[in-house]
Amino acid sequence: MLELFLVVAVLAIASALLMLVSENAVHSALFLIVTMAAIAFLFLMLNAPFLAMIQITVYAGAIMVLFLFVIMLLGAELSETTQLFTTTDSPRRFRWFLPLALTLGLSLFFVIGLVILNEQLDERVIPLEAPQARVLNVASELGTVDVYVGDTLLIDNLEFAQASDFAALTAGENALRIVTETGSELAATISFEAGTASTIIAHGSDTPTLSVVPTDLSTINTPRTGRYTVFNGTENAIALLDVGTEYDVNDNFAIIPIIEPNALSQAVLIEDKPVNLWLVDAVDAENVIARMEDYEVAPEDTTLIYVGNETQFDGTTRITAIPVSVEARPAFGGPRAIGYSLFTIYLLPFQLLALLLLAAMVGAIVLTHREVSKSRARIGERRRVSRPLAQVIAAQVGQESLTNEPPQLPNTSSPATGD
Amino acid sequence: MMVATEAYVVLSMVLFVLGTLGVLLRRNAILVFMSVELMLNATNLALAAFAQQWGSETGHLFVFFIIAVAAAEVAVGLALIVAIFRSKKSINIDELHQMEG
Repeated sequence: MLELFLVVAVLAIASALLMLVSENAVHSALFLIVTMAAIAFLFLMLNAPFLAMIQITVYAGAIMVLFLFVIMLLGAELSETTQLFTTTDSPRRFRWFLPLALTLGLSLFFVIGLVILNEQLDERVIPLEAPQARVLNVASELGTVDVYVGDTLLIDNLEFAQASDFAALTAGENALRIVTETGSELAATISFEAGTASTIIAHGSDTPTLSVVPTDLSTINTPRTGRYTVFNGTENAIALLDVGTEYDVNDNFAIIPIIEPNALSQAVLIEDKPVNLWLVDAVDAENVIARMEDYEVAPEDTTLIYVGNETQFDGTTRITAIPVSVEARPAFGGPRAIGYSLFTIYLLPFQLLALLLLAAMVGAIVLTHREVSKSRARIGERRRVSRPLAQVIAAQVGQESLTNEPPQLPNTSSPATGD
Repeated sequence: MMVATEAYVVLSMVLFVLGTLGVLLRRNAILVFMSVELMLNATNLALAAFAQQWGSETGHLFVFFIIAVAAAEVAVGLALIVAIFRSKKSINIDELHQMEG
């Protein structure tokens, strides 16, 4: 990796030097394009694919092309102004530019070198962000609930099979209260660690209990897959199967072989295609607990499937599978991650930038606009000839002055008549 | 295996110094502009290197903004050069030291 970096770095520096000393301005522009391409490659090495593409498209593809247009337009490529060092006929006051520039460059080198050698380039540890938590209400007894963390309301009117959004809490102990419509409360004190995300599941048909399970929100590195975990709210161990299109339990693929009761399974990645998922008893594969048929896998998301009792409208309970999805962190440096920031936190600078570009375009057009003046009289006027055309022709051809008869075509063959 | 951030900063500094030398030493106005672009690219490289070190996309966003502002500046600057060339027939910056005309 370091060798590749050194090769590209040497290429960039050499191309920049050649740009500086080249006499032809077009050559300088082309060397600068090579430097920009090398920097785009370095962006790729820095896990910044979006920046690399923007660099190639905008910088090398638009800005440098504009430079070349202007160089060609002005004919500046071979003018004598492209010499590097000022010659003797330059004004005296510019002769100290070269030593000054070299001194400035060397002092910059010196300062940065000092910083690097003293290892003051901050290797600060990235601070862990506040713990995130959400509440999933799958307890049939509770109905619609309000959730309080400490004294602040986390979410209200959380219905059955709904999960709140992730909210940032303070690290450490947090007092959680779940208040139902009737006023009864379910309280617990849960400690959260910084840098983690948890889901608090309120489940249980007879006596509602709270389980806290971790949720993995890190980047899913395989494209078009979703991360799935299953929480088993029943009393027996179950398994998650992908039964395919034939619904054949024997010819199946066990995605997760065993999920213990009241526990969270391991995380698996499922590809983005419609699947038929069955949750069966881990011991007896014929005993189907719950089905999720024609289920669309949620790609780029972390999904928690809760398996447990759900009270139907007529009062009976049935075991169902409830999937709850949240979007996992997008890939670092990819367009989705940058787009999230651009359209939420940095929306105002983004729009101001667009206005600035528009103003620059209008300014460029205004600056280069050239009035072309037309004399109005000249357009309407027709030129007066001095001699009639017939006399001019006669003078050239040498015949007698022609009469005003129009010239006749020679009578060759009769015109063909079509029938 | 990541390349150390210091390597990127050193490269960025070298390119920045080369750009500064170009700005100070070249007589052609368009060459001065291209040296300014080289300096901006050097700072973009440093920002992207620090964004990778810190694991935050804020550095990438700043690079995005710098590229867009550089595009706007190049458009207006080259238009100015074209306009000046039309009246003075020269883009040697030694001769362009008067604000009139």
